[in-house]
Amino acid sequence: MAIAMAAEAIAAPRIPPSDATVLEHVPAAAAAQKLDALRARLMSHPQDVQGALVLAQGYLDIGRSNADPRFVSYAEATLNPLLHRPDPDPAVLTLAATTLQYLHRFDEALSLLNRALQEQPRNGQAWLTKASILQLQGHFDEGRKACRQLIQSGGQLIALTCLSSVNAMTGKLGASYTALGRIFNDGPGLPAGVRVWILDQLGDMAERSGDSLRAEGYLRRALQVAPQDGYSKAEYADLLLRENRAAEVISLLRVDEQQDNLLLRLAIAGSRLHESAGERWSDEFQARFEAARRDGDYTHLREQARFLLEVRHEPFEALRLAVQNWQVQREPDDIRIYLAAAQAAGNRQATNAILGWIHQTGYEDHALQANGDGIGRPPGG
Amino acid sequence: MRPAPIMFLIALCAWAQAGYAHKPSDSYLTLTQPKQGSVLEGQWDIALRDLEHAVGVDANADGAITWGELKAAQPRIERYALSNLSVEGIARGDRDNCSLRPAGVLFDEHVDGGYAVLRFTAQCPFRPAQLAVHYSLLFGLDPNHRGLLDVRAGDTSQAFVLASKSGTATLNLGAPDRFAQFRAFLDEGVWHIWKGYDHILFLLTLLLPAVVLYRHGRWQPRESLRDALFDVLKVVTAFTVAHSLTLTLAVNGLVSLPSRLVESGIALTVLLGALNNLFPVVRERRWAVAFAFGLIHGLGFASVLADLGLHGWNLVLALVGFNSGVEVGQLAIVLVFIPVAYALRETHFYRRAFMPGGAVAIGCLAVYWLAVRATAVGFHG
Repeated sequence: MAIAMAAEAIAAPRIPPSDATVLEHVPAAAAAQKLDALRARLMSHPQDVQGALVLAQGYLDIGRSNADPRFVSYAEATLNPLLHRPDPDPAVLTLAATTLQYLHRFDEALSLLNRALQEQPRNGQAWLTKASILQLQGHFDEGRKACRQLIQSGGQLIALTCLSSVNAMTGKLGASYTALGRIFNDGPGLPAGVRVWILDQLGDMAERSGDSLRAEGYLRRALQVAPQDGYSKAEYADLLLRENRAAEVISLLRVDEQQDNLLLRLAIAGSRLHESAGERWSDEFQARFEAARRDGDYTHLREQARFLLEVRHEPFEALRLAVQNWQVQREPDDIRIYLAAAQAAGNRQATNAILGWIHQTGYEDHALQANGDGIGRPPGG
Repeated sequence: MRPAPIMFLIALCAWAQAGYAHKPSDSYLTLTQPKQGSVLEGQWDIALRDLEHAVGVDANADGAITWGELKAAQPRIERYALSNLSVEGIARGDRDNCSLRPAGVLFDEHVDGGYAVLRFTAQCPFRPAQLAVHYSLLFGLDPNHRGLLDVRAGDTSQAFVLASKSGTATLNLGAPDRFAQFRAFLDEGVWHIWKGYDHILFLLTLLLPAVVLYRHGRWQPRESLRDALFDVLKVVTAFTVAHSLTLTLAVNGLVSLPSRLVESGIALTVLLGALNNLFPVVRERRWAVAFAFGLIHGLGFASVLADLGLHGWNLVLALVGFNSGVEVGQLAIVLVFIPVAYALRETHFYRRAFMPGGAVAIGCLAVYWLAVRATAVGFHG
């Protein structure tokens, strides 16, 4: 409390005490400045497709490793001039779709991917990005079709991971988990990105099958391959929270307050342990939440709903955001927060709606079944 | 053609990061209009991370921006920021750019990090009633950047969100302060009567005979002040009612005549008023002349209000304020003129020299105006 008040008291335009005072950390500065030469060259040659692709990709890499969405926008700006030419290169369309996916503009991303695939029907990257968006939106049949295209254009391992990931959402969790585990031989022979992707899929499937021990093993290995990967960290933190190991969450994420989705896990862990820092994390998340709401930014509804339910204990508002989020994305985390908020709010209609969807798609999740939520039975009974 | 493997990785990572949450880049721009004067005060909070990408602030690329580095980059920052903002002042049909001058840099924090606080002034050629703000900061580098504009005047504040597709905001300054607005239009009405000599002279041609009566082929002094005042009251009221009527019609767009025709018509009314003093045609019913010719003068007033784009209550306020101002201006003239004229009415000078001499002088001026306006030679507009 004292810290928050002190922070408020000094939050005004001011002259810092000394020239050496650090005002902001820009961990990406060095990496970004390495791209400056390329950026300058592109300024004088705005039609250089290869240069633009390399630069945009460089920005996306920085954005991913530093969790700074600005770099995603820089990638978008880099590709924009090429995108608005009469016949954009399929590679430009595909990379632009990836940037839009980061920005949660899924429908725009899909339309760019369709244009790329019309031009280049065997563009594996476009098929994979398309499959991932369709799955995220809950369009599993179409997602499966996109995955099948990868057998020819992306290779067996990629195609099978893609298919298992979709099938694991639609009533074939056990079979998909077994098949993927069998074909995947982890080792440094595979590119790090592919390894982390498959390990995360396996971790999710293991967790949903009720095999937390294996799930933890997969996620820890993913974090060994890519220690700063925000998605793996969030998944691992959620596993720890489910097992009431909140203290480990704090030691895992203590340095990651900058990332909103990891700050959420810190706030939940802190509030469970009644730690003094928990209040600061909650206040910080609340402040960012309010700033986002004021700015009309609706890209983190899922995290906000979870914050309201698990930290603030406001199930009605949490359900409202979870329902709104459901219109945009339908991943396991979205399903869980929807159901949890609906039940906490005692809203029978919303509970039946999500149980109906789960029943219809065949979605399986050990954590939900263990709670006796009637998964696998028709709703309303 | 199979895409390069390195690009394939990007798509995989995009999949893994699909649930990644973030705050987009925003700047906070505040323009404040002080109670008096034509200079607006500006404060512009721009994220240091944005400035790092736009102009480069972390000079030693160590991943930390210090106050010393910010100060060193200040000229670059100011040049970059102010060249991406333009403020136009609008008042009474005039529209002109306000010149932006930097006034120092400070530091502040928002929920997502450190910001440079740019202070500046916008020096407008006149005190603006409306502003047009054109914003283009970072749009070329970050299409998702937004400027959150806050305009403060009096006790009110208005907020706008400026984005790459909508970078301009047009707004009324102080529109919500009804009393100040009423006063402004009242002043406008008073000054319009006093500075527009044609209206005064027309009124004088009708007032000159108010203290006399035309009997037996010549002007004779009136018996009582009461009669004279009653005559003045009838003339002034008829004039006011008439010009209020046409002013209202014209501002609402129900009547519209070319300005050259209206201005020539006003000159003609002055000429006819003067001639009526020399060769009296209308004697007792000068209020009817005041009414008929007042209709034309009202159309002339409309040019003042038409360009402001007023609607609803603002329009009512403007009309009532302006007409009241015209009335006050007329009363002031009457209060000065009538006592003098009444005191002099019995003198030979008033009836033989002042009345006809004044009428001839006014008539000559009216002929000159008529010639200039009808042919639009050097006409003031």
